[in-house]
Amino acid sequence: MLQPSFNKKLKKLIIEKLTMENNKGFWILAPVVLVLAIVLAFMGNPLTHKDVPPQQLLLLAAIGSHYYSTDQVAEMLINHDPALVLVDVRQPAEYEKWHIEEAVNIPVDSLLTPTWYNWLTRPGQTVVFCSNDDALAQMAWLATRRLGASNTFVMKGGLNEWFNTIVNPPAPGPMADKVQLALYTKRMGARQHFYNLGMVGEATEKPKEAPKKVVKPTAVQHSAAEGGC
Amino acid sequence: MDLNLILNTMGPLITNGIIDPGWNNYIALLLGMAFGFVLESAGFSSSRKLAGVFYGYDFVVLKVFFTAAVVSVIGIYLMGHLGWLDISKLYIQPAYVQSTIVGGVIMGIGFLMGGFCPGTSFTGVAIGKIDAMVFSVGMFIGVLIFGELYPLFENLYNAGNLGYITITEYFGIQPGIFILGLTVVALVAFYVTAIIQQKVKKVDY
Repeated sequence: MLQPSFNKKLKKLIIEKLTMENNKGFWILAPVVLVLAIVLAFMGNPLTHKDVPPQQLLLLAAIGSHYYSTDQVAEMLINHDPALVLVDVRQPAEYEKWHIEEAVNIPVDSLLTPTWYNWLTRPGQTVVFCSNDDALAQMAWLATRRLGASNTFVMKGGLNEWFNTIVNPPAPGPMADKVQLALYTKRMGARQHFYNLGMVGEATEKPKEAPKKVVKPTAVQHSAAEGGC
Repeated sequence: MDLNLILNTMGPLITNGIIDPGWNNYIALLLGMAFGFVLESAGFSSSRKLAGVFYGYDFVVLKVFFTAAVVSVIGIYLMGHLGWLDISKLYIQPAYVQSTIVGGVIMGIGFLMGGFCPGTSFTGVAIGKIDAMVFSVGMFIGVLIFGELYPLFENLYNAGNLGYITITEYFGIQPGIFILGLTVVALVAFYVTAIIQQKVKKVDY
């Protein structure tokens, strides 16, 4: 007879205790939450990383404003343009075979690692990607632009174009105008600068030797660039 | 902005490729079990406790869900400020205005009549409550009816779609201000409901 009423009293006591403690919890936690909310209200918008919309990228690509011609790149290299970073995005094996001397090798698959990405997107730099043709360089350009980089470009035509214009420039025909002749002279100058090749007629043979000369110094440069980052 | 964080350690973990999407279902299973366990532990398997909101003798449902909203929104935005979480990558449910209102009314009536919401009815089933089992069966009947008569409801179902939008985006309010407002409303609601609860006759359950 005694037990049920005792149980009820105990239950009531427990419930009262619980609600008391719940109220205590309220008075402790409410100010904490409120302070956090006030802090948030003064912090403005949080950091978000909005991707560049694909439509905008497509438009950029269609305009072709992301291209540097091989002549432009050659000129920048000859002038030792401090802003230019020429990035060869092919695999190291391909890079070792032949590359432009000043180019740094960052394979396209390691381009987005934080170290490289941060290094490439330092303000004030002009990053020009090159690969055998446009394809890989375009990929690198698209990925970096998508992430919000605004200073990346593509060397139009890639190393094939470099070979056809700088290493082995086609001689202007007999009907060539002044501009074409000037361009040819300029390219020959560049060729002289990069490969110490003077004569036009030997062009088909000599460039094959040129890469071999180039390999050793760039191997050093390559590792230096890696170590620097 | 620190790209190191964005590229490497920012949540959401699956969207950012830090956790393989293949783990999605396993993580969902674990979270679901944890959710059910906590619901049951908090007494949410009792239909009387749940219906208490409508009669004024127990506001635990309101407190729990409001607390969850406030804590998570503050947490999410703080993590956003700290660079741990990319808020723009979070999935937002699309907002359907009309269908949400109609669905909310139906859900409220069902909640009041049956004493469960879908999730809590399963916690009730898990501990062997007969009313929860009846409720669950009813829920499946409702799903069946909806599925069979879908062409009838289709227009209503898709009515008023505003897309993936949040309240702050829709009204152009600063998220921080909205969160502060929500927090104040929640705290006031907790305080007022505590007073109501004290005045309403206690129900033994």
